[in-house]
Amino acid sequence: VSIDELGRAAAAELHRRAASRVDPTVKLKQLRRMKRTRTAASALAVVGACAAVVVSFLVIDDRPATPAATALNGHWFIATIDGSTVTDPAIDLHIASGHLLGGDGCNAISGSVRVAGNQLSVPDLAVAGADVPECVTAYATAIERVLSGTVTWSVERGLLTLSRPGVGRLVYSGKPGETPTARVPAALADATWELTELDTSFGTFTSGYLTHTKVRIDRAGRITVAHRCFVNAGTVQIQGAILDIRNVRLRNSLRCPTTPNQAAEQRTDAIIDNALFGSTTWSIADGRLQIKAVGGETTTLLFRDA
Amino acid sequence: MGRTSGAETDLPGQSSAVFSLRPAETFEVFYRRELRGLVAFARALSGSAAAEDIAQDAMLAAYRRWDLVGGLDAPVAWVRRVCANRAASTLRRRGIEARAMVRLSSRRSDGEPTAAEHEAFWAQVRRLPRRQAQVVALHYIYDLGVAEIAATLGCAEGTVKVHLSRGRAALSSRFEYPSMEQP
Repeated sequence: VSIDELGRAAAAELHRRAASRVDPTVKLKQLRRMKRTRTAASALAVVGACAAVVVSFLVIDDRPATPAATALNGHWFIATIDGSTVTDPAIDLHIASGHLLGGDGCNAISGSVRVAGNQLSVPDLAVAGADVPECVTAYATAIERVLSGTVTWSVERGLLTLSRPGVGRLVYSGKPGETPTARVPAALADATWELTELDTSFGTFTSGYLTHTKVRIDRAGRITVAHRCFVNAGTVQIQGAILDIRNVRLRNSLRCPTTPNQAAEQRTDAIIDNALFGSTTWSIADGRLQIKAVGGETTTLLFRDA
Repeated sequence: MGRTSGAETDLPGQSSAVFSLRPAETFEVFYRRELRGLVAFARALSGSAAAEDIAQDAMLAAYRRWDLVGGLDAPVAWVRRVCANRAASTLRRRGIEARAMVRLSSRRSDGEPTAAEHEAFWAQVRRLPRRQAQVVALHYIYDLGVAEIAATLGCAEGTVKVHLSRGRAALSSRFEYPSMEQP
């Protein structure tokens, strides 16, 4: 008797028991009851959460005045790390509209900037390899350590200081208010990318409907995302492997015939847009563009050059 | 992350509308066909006490999102993965039970395996590291190959090969059986 024979016999035994003990008809009735119960419980939880939000708005905020978060906006270049002078144009931060995009010398970094008074955090900090030769990993490590937690920030005399006691202190000098450039690489720009595959945490979609979605990015950093029935447009910022798609608006609706699957198609378009808009990473291999959502949802979109 | 679309903007996990990009079967048909196998799979990974609840929970998760899950290329892979993850959570909570079963498996029998050996086999499977146990259970319960297991668990085929090989080797040594087959 081999272990495989034992395994198959043991599996057959479990199948026999399940077949004799489990009645799908009875179980299906139980399942329907469970669904009704849990749906009701979920609704109650939502009502409770809404009530909590309302109450939180009613609480008067009597905290002392804090620096305005808009002072963070701008293009900042590293000046010192833990007191040591560092001059490296690849270590920078673009901050605008509550979003951060930059480099730590070795990697591209991005994320949402959350500001509470003089405290700042980047809860969804994303770090992607940017293929920078001869970078100083000690600097990159120091920067990532500081940005990976809640830091105290200040902007004084053109210097942005980010410090975490016991962890590190970064000082950037900058040009407040300057907006980052698009920096769209030639491989990505001026091509029409047709969606062929959508991988979500639920599984893989390869329906032919996906090919209705076509993405185009021009060298000026403008992006259009065309679906079967409408077109969205926005702007992109690119830093190494990070592709940041922002300011997306519905540009125009297209005339499209009604189909039996219309609701499903709208749902698909929404999933694609959810994955696409915001911080993503991108790569091109074998003529296929891969865009991967950065953050909570693990969604990957695969495109071919149309 | 910005969320903008001309259509609805729910995340996949929050879907509530109809979602089917291919002609999906009804949940009822799916449920009747897959439930028993799923119970067997849950039992392999969690032991007897909670298997039906785990399988039912996994089915409930699919039922609540059937508009989305039913449109997947392989809804059964999704529900098996949910079941595997829930079984792992249950087992963590009841960690002692599997170890208690080990004592049953300390000797090798001659000839046909007995029911006690079947129990001991699954008890040993549950002692394996979580991923190895899932791979081994999928392999034997559903007779799946490396590619199908990889698709079910959402990992690389190479990873599955390693887990399956190590899992078999560990089981063989515990039962003193030879491990000869390769999937």
